[in-house]
Amino acid sequence: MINDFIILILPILVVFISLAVFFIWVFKSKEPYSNSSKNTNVKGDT
Amino acid sequence: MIEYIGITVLWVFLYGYLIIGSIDFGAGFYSFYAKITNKKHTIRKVIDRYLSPVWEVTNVFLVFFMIGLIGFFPNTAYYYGTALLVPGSVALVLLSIRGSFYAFANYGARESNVYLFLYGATGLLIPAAFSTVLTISEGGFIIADESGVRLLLGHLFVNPYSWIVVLLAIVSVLFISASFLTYYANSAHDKEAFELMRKFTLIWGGPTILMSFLVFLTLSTHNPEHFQAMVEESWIFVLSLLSFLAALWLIYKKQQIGIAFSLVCLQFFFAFFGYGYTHLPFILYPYLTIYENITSPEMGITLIMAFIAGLFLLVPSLFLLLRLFIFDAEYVKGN
Amino acid sequence: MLEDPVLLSRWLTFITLGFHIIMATIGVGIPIFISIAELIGIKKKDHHYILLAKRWTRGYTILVAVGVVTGTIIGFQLSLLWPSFMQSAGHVISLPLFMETFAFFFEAIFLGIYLYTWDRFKNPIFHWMLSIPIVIGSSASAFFITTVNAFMNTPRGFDLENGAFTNVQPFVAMFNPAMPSKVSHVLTTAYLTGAFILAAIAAFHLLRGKTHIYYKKALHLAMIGCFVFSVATIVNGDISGKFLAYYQPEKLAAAEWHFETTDRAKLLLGGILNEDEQEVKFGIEIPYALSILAFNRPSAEVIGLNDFPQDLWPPLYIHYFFNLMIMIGMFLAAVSFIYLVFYYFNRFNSLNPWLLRAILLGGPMAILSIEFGWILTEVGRQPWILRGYLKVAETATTSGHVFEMLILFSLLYLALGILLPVILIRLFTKKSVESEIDKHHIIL
Repeated sequence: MINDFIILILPILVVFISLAVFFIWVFKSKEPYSNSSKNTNVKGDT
Repeated sequence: MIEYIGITVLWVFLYGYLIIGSIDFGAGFYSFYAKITNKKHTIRKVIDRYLSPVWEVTNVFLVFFMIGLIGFFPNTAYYYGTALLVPGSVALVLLSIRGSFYAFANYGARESNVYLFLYGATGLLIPAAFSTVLTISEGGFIIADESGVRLLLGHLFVNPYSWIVVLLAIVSVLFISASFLTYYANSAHDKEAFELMRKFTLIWGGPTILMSFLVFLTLSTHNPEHFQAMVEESWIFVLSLLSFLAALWLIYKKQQIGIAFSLVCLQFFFAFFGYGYTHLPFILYPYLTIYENITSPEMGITLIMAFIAGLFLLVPSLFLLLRLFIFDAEYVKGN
Repeated sequence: MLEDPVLLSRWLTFITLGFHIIMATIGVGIPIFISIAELIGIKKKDHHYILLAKRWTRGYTILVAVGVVTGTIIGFQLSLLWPSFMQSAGHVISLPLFMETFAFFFEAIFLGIYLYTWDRFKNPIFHWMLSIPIVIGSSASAFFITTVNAFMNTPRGFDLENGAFTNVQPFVAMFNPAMPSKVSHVLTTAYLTGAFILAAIAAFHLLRGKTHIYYKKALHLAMIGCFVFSVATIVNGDISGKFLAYYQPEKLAAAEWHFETTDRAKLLLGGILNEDEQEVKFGIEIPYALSILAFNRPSAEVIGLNDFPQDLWPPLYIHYFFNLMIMIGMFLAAVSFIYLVFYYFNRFNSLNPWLLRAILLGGPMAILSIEFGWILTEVGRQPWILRGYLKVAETATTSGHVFEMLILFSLLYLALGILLPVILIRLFTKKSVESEIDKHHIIL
């Protein structure tokens, strides 16, 4: 039944999907504010 | 069968708490002692290096024992829960003060004498409070009837047996802790700390044995049945005494300190399991026995399975912790 | 009132848990951010992220320490205040309680190792790997303990014959119908709260005029988390509504002041209830919304409170907690959404002071929302402690000293509640970010 899927399975998937989206988003996005940081320390020699 | 596995598992955890907790509680006391006598650099460093990584683990042994007890023997929750509201709450507050103030002092910004005092004082009060639960389990202090379960707090306060147990708990804590710190200071090649802790080990050794004998004596009048069972299994307690003598001899001779500490652990192992074994079948004399109050076999077997699975996870992790902090020569020396 | 052990026990449990869940929620939420910050730092060779992970870990450790303390208290208090409940629960639901201790044990061991081994490995990835057990351990603790709470709402896996539990099935009890939606909601809200607290800290520093890119990196990382997990929270919040409509309709009806069973049910926001007339004044009504929340169909029939005997109704004030929780949830989602829109469309400034202020507000709001949601679910279960089997009033301790204990613990929490922020502030002001970054440059 669709209701059982929504109530008993879907919520667990929501946790894993949101974690995955979060990890991928953070890793795929380019370095934030990297062009507006001239007034601060330049990143280390790394 | 399940009841024996269950009580053994629980007793092993309580034994683990006894050793690790004692080291922790005693260290708090010695830490405070070092502070007020300005011996800061000799033993404080040794104590901090040991305590910092492992203190949270200590608490878990206790919670584990409690949850396991309720899991395997659910009725204990009703009897002990109702009776121990006041003493249990006081012990909890002490434990909370200790845990949070340790964290505040250790990870927080400033070292404060107040924190250290609370840390040291609670280190002796908590074992005193917990040991009374063992006293209560001997019977005579809890009344269960139609109107419910009640604790006779007044009886507990005037009973010689209960006070002897409290004293035994305190001196044991100081003895176990001192012998461990002797070993740890020895591994760290910290000569000053080693001499100081060795002295404490020798000092507290005598009272520990004296109190143990007194516990035997007073138990004979308080709970003759249990005393009789102990006499019948007296070989265990003889082994305990032999371990103690051997440990003290090695520490006196400054030889094989590692083995000496293991012997101290063995001493308490024999005494604790001898006590526990002869205590059976009662969990609370005379109301609760392990036979009548064991949980259903379905739950019991599942708990044991979960326990075994958990061990596969925990033993390697604990091994890693010990490898990195207790048995890593470089870390112990402070490099 | 001072003599009623049931009411006093409820109060003591309330203040203990109300205090504990702040620490517990943050303790579950923050590790994933520490872990990912360290990994980014290693992968991109950016020591700002490493420092971020280090500083977050310091604060996290103190909160966990207090969380261990309050967790130990609640663990014991359950037996001390609700002995009959723990006796029953021990028979059926002790498995997850038992496993929760294992999970926490696991987390505590690795937290101890993680804290003291920042520079002990040649390859830093080994140190990062130590954070994984912390993430798993903390989330697993949340999972196990939430199954116990779920069990209280939908008890399964046993038969009750003459007061004795027979035919016990521990896994059926653990995987009860309330479990998935509750676990999901607890986990994503914990991540959301953790994210918003970290974002609020970064926003606070930026508002105070700090301009270092370190804070901006921290803000951005946390805000992505805020958005993703607020969306997830809305999704599983909606699922929780469907769970309630199906399995625990009286809780949903009480939260919504929905008295008569009707189709095309409306959702009510706010309002003042006249209990005798069952009439609501000044409320905002959204047509069909309750039916959609409950069954995804505007025409669906939603069971009303009048279908239940009045002595089994939960207190009706939970309506306000329900509304407040939802409003804060929407606020958090909106703030993080606006931030990301501003960030990705260059026409706007995503570091706009008003937006930063809203983010700063989001931190405490998220914690409040956790408290409201928790009050909603616990009070909404009343009068039951095990729904359908055991009532709260039957299980409290019979001791006459609960009031003294209430005072004792209140003083303890008051002391901790004052000291904890003081210690945290002192810890973080003693070593400023800038000085730590400079120090790092010298080492490099």
